[in-house]
Amino acid sequence: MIFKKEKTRIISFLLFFFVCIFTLSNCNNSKNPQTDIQASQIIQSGISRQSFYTTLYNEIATDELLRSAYFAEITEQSPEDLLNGNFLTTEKHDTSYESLIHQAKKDNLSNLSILTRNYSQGSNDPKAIWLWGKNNSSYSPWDSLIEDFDEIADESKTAVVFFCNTGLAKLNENQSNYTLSFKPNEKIPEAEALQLQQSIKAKMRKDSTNSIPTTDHEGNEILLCFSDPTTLFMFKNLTEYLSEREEIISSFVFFDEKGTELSLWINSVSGGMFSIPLNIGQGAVCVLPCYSNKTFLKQRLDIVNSLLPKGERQKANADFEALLNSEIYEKNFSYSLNEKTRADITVSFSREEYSGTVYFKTTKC
Amino acid sequence: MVLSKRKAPFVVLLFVLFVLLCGNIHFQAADNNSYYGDGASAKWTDIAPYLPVLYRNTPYISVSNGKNTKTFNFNIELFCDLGLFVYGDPNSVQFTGMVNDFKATNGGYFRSGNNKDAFSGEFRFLGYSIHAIPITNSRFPNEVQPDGSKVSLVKYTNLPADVKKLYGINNSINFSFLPIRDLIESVNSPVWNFTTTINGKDVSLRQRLTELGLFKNNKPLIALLDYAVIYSWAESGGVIRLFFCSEKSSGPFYSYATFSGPVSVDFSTKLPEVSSSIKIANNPGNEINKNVFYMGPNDKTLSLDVALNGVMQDDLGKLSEFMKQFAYTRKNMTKYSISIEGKEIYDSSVRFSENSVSFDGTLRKYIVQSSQLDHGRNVIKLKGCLKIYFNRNSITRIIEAPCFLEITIIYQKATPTPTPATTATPTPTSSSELPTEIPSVPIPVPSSTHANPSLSVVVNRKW
Repeated sequence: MIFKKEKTRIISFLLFFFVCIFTLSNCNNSKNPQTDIQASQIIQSGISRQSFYTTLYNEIATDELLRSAYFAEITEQSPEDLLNGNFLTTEKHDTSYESLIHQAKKDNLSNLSILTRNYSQGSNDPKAIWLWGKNNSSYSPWDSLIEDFDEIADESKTAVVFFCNTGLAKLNENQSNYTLSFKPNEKIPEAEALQLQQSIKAKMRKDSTNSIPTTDHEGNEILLCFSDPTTLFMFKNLTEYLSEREEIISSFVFFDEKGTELSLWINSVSGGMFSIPLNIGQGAVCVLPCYSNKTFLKQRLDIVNSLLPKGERQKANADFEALLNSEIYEKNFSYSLNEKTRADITVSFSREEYSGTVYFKTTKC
Repeated sequence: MVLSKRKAPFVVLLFVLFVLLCGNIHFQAADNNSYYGDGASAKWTDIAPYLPVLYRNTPYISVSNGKNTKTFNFNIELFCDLGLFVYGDPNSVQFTGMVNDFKATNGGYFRSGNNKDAFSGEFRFLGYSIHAIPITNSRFPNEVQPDGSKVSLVKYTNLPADVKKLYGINNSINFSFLPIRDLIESVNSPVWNFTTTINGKDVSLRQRLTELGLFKNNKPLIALLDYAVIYSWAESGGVIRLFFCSEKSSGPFYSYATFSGPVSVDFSTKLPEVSSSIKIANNPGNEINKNVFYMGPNDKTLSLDVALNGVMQDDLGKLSEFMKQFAYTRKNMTKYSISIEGKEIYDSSVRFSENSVSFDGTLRKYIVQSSQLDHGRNVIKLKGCLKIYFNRNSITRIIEAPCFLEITIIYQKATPTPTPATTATPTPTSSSELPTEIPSVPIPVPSSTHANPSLSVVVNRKW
């Protein structure tokens, strides 16, 4: 009898325990419907994009689970340690060739930041972010990437940058002028707001708009990110063009063949390796070696064509076709990248010899 | 005898293993680096770690000829024999429609046909570069020798239009190399050691320019980028072309010479890991804790023996004969030096073990004067350095392994004994004259100088 009583007590205790757990878990879940109601009220009231982002950001910041999914611990790595290595020399004012090369590399690497966002939830193996360009503000790189960033209210800037970093912000790409815009004061369409809200509920993160997936020189997956729109669009268009044609065997970021300029190396199916300097949008010269083989020369010209805005490509294509079918062995072309920058392309090759080059250089107007 | 079904797979497996083993034996046969075609004694996995990053990540390239695409592997034999970075071989360039000439030369690296003695010579192209461009063989006897007439160097921009057109030269051809002009033209640039083959002999750019009176006192007298067309430039080598003009009865005659340099081998040669550390080697008698010393008011100096130990991990015992070519080891070491606190130590020794070399040196009687110290805790950083000098192919490289040690000296400064007060009420004193504050933690004193450490506190209070 006593034993039976004990058993009943244990069962009732367990029941109580499960009821408690159920109630608690319900409490937690009930947060989301509340958020949904708040958000839909906000959407109906027709608020601006930046206000909606700010509201949503504040909800994430105050929700423990969402915070752990979206707020990351950032670790930084020294690009010099990683890419320039230990430099062993004794002389303080060393003018050896190695020392000069080392210094040139060091100067170039001052444009690179390497950081990893370690999320406590949902990402066991975060990719390192290699951010190319000056990184000197708390809103970097988005303040220099988004053309209407200044129109964002100060209290909303953190929220917008946050969503840009998670890859969820809706940014408008202008392919004809190589610009990115956010339109902060535009009324947010209901579908866009709901989609963003659903993504947050699902704790979704994406590669940010300014990134290109590739690998580092040791084969580790990285996200190569840019902080100026011209360079970003050039690299995005290039990789998109090559991927569509299944032209990429592999790619990685390392110094160019000269050993001084950080570049994206691509091993292509139809024409060996070529590299595009990461500073291409800011005046660096891209050199694509070629020779008089027509197939090969066309591949090189297609590469430089893919760096141009889509609006300029047709004209460039016609120019290059005419060059290939002519007896000309050297020609300069110029195309507009945007209002401020133009691309100068020089094609030079020998019809008798094996050597030739396609140069691509951006110039500020 | 018929094999049972059960045994058959084992027999097949044994046969496969036998074939593989034989293949392996053949593959690892010693390579003669004076001619091409006998294979290499190394595999991709052996050499890859020693290649510059660009090549390490690119075991093959792919090329299209418009109809087909084909992959060409890194040519291990050309790398092992000549230190060149080539994909495919001389026959490969035909895939993209190039005609590869062969010229018979004495002591040529390549062979025409199967008879290795009869047709030694050179191909015009070696294969493809990493960019899938045919690579010119600098040994190919392509320089037209002026027949006794005076030769002068010509700026590529001053070449006549028809010569420019022939060689695909425009005035901005070196444009992309301008940012590293200082590097290319520096006195220590590897470019001066790039070579070309003239009459079957390797001639360096330095020699050629010296012959022309354009290189004196180990310094070039021309701005190279104004004269030479740079076809490629890399940490791993380069190709440049110089143009010459000779006056003939028929008018000026233009010729060129291509200089190339596989500086790669030395640049990719690995330096060994070197580390060093220093420690106090003697017991001056007043060490109260590890690297913590006590100096009392009567101690004028502290005499320390500072010892440096360095280790160079060259892994010599683990390296194959092939890998030894791409690593700096004790065999390339020309000298070493140990310095402690800026003083060169001559009292040093070296010990060799299978995979490492140890260096030891001691600075005897390093004196710390009490006059240099403040009252209380003094931290002194002792610096040491091991330098090892290597030489390979006339290139000197130095590894520097600095180290330091922090020692603490707790110094009790003697303060003048206060004279007895003559008046009943003591006069106020300035703060500097006040008795020094007693340290909150009693200072232990070595037993050799003070039998009982606790006495020190008593002594302090007497002040």
